[in-house]
Amino acid sequence: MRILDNMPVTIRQTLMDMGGITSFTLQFSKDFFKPPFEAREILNQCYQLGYRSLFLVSIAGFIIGMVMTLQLRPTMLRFGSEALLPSMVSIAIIREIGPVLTALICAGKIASGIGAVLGSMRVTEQIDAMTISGANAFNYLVVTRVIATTLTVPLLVFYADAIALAGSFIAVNLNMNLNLTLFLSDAVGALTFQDVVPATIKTFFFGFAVGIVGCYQGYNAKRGTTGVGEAANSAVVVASLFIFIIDLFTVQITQLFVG
Amino acid sequence: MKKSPEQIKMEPVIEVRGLKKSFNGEAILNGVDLKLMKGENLVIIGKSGSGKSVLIKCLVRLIEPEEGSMKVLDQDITKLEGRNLNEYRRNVGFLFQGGALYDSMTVRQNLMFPLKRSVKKMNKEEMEERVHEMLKNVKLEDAIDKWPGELSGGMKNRIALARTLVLQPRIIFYDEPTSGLDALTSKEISNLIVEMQENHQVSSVIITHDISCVKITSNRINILKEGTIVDEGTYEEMSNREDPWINAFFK
Repeated sequence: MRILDNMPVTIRQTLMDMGGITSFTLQFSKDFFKPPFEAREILNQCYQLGYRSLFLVSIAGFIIGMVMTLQLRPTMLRFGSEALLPSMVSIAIIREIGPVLTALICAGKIASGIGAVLGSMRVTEQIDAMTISGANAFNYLVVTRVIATTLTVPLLVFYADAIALAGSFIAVNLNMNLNLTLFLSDAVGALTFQDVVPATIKTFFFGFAVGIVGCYQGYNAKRGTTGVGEAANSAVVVASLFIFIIDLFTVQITQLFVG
Repeated sequence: MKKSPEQIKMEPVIEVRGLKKSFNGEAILNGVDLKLMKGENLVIIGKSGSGKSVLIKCLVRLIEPEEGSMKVLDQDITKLEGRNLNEYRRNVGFLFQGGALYDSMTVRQNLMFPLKRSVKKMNKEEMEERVHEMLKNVKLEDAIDKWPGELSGGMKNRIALARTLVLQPRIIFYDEPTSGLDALTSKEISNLIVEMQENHQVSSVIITHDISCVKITSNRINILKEGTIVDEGTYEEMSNREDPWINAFFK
């Protein structure tokens, strides 16, 4: 413990968070198999966390698809490869921009929301009240939310990818005469197994990270209203950090196995 | 009317010996000895931060004590884990300060939540019936479909009491049940506590600073000072103590 005491506060806090999240994840994996299976609450959380993020994800996806296309076009024109624009945008969106952007939006909206809700339940003793009533509060509050984010973030990414491609199509059409069939043929035809599968798999990890970090920060919020704010804030910061780390590892692993 | 000393059975339902708990090296409970008899309302008084809430949270194992024994309902609860701990918790209720109602659920859902998860043998109709019966006990049947945000402080406490009673506990712990309420509502809650004692045969440990609540509810009072119980007696005995420190609570 003396080594920890001599460390700068930020590093010490990060290490303590890492340790806390690891043991929290272990508890999740134990409670995941414990009855009762709260199917109705999982569906409720999918609606609360996923459906209510659709608007933000739609706007962000549409704009990023459009802006990316408009920004890339002059460079592509210079090299005489304007025809490759749909393929290039599609690969960039499916492999990287769509998953990471959506996951970061979810870190900002979903993880902070979970952190704030569970944090306020902790400081107002609602979690203690659940525990005393003989219910498994961890199962009801944490397991359901983590399952919900793990399932909904990939769906949101899939949706955001589609919306971004729609934005890209509109941007392409502003300058080029390209119909939807041709655009889709170019955009989808350029995608390979290596583009789609690793990108899809990592979205499940992003979803899990968003859920587990949000729940960890909220469930362990300290007393008082300041604790709720801190929980929501830390949830965004730590979840975003996890998303970048997971992304880096996925790229490395993908390159190792599929090149 | 609360029970007279003769009506209370000399059969302990809680026996605590030498309970110790500290936070960051500071001793909060420093060897607490306590007994609660069957059907009795025991009030614990002490200064803020003297460890009253810590004591009752130890008794439901929300906080783990460092030393001491806790025998509740004829079982040593210090070693209970998992299913056995949940089974024990079904027999005790806890009324939190402010009620701690679940914000995201209506009053009906708040009362159904413990029933659905703790009582396996009841069907939905029986659960609904129990919920209505408990709300009738606290005279708030009309609030069944309201959200906690729509209720006043006193109503929240009464609903929380109904939620505590829904599992028909044998012991109830009250953590400042009248805190933040006006004198009239505070009296209503105190009378409700006495009604619960009479009608549901529960034993209670009540933490409060509200002297009118102490007067209405207590069969016996324990004074907690510097982590130990330093005095005990009935309301009449305690309010006539010459010790100025104790006397200050009753003025």
